[in-house]
Amino acid sequence: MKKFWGKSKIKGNSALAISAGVAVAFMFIATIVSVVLYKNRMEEAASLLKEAQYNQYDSYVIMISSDDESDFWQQVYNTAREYGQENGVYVDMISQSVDVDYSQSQLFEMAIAAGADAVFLEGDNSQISTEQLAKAKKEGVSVITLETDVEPENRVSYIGVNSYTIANLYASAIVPDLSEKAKIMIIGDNTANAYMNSGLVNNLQEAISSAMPGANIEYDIRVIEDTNSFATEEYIQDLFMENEVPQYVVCLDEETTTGFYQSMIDYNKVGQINLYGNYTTPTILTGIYHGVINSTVNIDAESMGKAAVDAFIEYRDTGYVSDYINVESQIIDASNVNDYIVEK
Amino acid sequence: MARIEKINISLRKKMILAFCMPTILLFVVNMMLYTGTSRMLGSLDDVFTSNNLLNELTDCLDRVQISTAGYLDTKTSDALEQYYIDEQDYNNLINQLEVNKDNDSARVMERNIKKMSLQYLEYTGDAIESKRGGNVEKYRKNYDEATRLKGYISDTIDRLNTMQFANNSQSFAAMMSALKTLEELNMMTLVIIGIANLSFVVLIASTITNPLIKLSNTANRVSQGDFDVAILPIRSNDEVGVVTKAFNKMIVSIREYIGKLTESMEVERRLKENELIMENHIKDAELKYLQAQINPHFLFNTLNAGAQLAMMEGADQTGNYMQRVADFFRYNIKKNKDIVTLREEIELVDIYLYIINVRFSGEILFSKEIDEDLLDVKIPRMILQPIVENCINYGVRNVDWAKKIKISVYALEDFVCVSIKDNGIGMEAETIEKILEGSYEGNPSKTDSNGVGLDNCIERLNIFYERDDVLDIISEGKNKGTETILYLSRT
Repeated sequence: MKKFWGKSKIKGNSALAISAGVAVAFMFIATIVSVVLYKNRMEEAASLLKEAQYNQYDSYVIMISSDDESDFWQQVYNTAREYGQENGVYVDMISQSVDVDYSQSQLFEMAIAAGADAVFLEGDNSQISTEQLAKAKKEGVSVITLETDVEPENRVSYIGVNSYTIANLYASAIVPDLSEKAKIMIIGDNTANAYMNSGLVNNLQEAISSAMPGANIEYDIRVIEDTNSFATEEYIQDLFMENEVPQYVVCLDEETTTGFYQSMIDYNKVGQINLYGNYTTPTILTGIYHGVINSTVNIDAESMGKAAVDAFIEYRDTGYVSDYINVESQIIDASNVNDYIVEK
Repeated sequence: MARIEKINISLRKKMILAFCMPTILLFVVNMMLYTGTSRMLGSLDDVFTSNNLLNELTDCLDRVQISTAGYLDTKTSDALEQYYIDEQDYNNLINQLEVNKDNDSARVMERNIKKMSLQYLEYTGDAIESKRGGNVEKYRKNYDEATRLKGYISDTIDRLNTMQFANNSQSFAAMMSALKTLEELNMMTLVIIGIANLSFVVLIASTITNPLIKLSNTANRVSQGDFDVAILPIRSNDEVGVVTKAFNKMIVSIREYIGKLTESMEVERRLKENELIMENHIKDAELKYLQAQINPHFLFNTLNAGAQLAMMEGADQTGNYMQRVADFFRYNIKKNKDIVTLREEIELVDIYLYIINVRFSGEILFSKEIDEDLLDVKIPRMILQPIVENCINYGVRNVDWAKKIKISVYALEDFVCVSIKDNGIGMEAETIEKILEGSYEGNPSKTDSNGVGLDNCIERLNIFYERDDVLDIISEGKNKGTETILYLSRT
């Protein structure tokens, strides 16, 4: 009995000692857990300040287009950038590095000063002077033109669709709708100058004539030279206000196409005007879907982006590349617009 | 049972441990949290370092442009010096940027800024040199180029600055949130450790004080005379352990002492008991001794008288007499029976008076007035006969008138009163007093009694009843007779 009593006492006393030990252990565990959590959180915070580890690129290429914000050029740029990353080429749209709205010429100057290895340039002789191109060449900056070309001697390659192909695509779209006697307005803003220069209009006229021999077709060719903001929109508004819009309108760029599409709705001209656009944007596709726009000429932006990067790599690695690289183009109309809407 | 080792830590060390350990732990944790937090706060300063550098770049670029224009305007050596200073400063700043090939827009912008800046400094340098060389066309051209490039650089820096500011603000916010988490963690850790510390101190204090409390409780019980306490367990060799050990020893010693004391008291008690028994025996012996004081002369005289009577008269009376004598002696020799009933005593008195009347020719008139119900009361043997004998010898023996002796038994309060009254010569008060005190000495020549004196009776009665007022003697004076009254207790 006494032994049992003694045992229980010992148990009682050791309970205190054990509890004290547990308290100490708890303190240490709490400290360790806290230290671990603390360390993790500190490391997490410190990692914010640590310089990130980036992939390295081999070449630096700057892309300059007439309208870097447009869907088409954004698509070309994104494709080129992604494809470039896979191949060690950093494609940069330098206009995004500044908040100021620089001209193509200024951006080109920046690109040379920044020591780019190459420039993907939407060729426009009115914007980029021959001197600039020559300087680029002198500085060792390879110029690859996209969609529209410059003088071949100042660039290493041209990637785009030739005006003949485009004219034929337009003609194939217009001819089925065309009456024997008609007036076609061919309109484009300053970005379409190259088309005009490259004989697109002539090719289109020829294509229509050959498809409809003897037809009395009148052509009204307009170029919106004003490069100020909203100039295109204002110009189109004026055309509608003055009722100068013929039954057939061929737009050579995205902005004009979109502008006509909207004005046709605003001025209740849907069904009266046959609109043939250029480029593919969600708005233009919607226009086709609703039957406002008859069709649009679509240049494959992704192919263009990839082709540009490939051309640069080839030139960089071999010092030689094809002078002209063709990019797929096609007509989007009511018959196939759904494919593109889904795709987009 | 697992044996629990005693802890060899002194009370002082235990207390130092109990108070220092939590303090040190809290201090360490606090220091750790403090260091971490201050490191974190320090790194907050670094968040906007990149912005600061870009701001400095812009400022310095402006200064280079101004000093270039300044020299081109004035061509003074001060302006030239200023240009070189600014150019150097700008060079130093752009050297902090690296021509990297990192696949990141901000890093690319950094690279572009550096490249364009180097180009810019080339243009300004050329402009300065051309100015010094007097080549107006060239310095103007270079200055224009530089001015345009400066615009590009400034715009790129601004853009990068904005981007980095946005990034840095995000980092700052993230760090602030981390800091907040750390603050909460700090608080939580401190609270947890604080509580654990408190528990630890309380528990350790309890381990120190519990044995003390037990010791004091046990000591209290001991002080209140409860020695049946358990031996306290000794858990440690500290001061409390030492005191507990000493206390345990003390308890054991006290218990042993009490045991011995109890034993000796037991012995003493037994001795006392024996003493009492002895006393009783002595009393008994005394009683027996007093009873044994029967005068053999009386026996002789009586038997002699019986013989004379047998000779003078016929055998019947003699036989009767002898029978009574025999009864008398039989009563006397009942040695194994010390206590008798009052009835037996009175019967003996009857026999005695018969014998005496035979001897004194029937002179003595004996009468009884007895409450028969009271005759069963217990009384020492041989009490009444000696009193009656005294009545005859000292009261009525020599009187001229008719000798009368009367025995009455009656109840008085709680007592059974036995009165033996004679009409003899009576007794003086002095004599009565002496008799009652036991100091009276009768006539030694009178040897024809049965050997039991009145003082013997009184003493025996007093011993038996354990009081000294059992017997009283009343005499109204000379020739007025004497009455002896016994106040016997009913039980």
